[in-house]
Amino acid sequence: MAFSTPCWRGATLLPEKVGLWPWVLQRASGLFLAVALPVHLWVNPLSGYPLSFESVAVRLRFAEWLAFDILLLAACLYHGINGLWSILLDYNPRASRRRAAAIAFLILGSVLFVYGALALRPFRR
Amino acid sequence: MRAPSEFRLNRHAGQWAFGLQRVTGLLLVLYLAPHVLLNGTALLYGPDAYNELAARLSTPFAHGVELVVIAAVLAHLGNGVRIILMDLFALSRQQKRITIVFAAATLAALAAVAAFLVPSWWGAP
Repeated sequence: MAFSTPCWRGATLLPEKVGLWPWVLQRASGLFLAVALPVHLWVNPLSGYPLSFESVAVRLRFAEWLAFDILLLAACLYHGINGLWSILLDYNPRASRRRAAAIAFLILGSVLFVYGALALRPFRR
Repeated sequence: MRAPSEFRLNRHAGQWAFGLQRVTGLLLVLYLAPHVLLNGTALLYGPDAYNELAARLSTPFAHGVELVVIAAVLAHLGNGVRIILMDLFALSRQQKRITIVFAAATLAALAAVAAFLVPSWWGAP
């Protein structure tokens, strides 16, 4: 019984326990970003106009663009933080550090998502 | 990239593509947090502060950072799509050729972006 041996005790979010889902989601979010980030670049720095509050507000008046921006935020945060997580796993840290990093990453991602989504509110007023 | 010696030992295109993917990924996730935080300026301080920050960030240095980040996005995107294609269609025997094709396409996209973006920093309305 491999799972009852002491080396598994307290180990969190091991690939053996969460399965292949982070890998699939990393690929799925990556494919979404492969389309969404060029669109994001196209409508912002490559639009030919300098960035201003008014230009963003005009775009975000459309519910579709608001949904796009929120999805982009979620996909970027997941892909970036899950990427950091897999770099961390590459160095095979001990369980206590892995647990601390998992909690820190979850808090960081949640806070940035809520803040980033709220940041769109002034443009819709 | 647990040890830099891996780059000395594995002298093939895939190893360098792996290193590039990791370096650009770290750069992009480091860019993401301040990018989200700064775009919340209007939420915290209002539209005028947002426009003032946007104007303050149109310096040659900030535009240089912008171009480096776009280059990192294109490199990470191109290589990421290559990895997914190679995985799904078992193309590892053609790895070197596919890597060269994707690198050329990425450089062409970067050249097109730079050719548009760099002059727009001076001629913007």
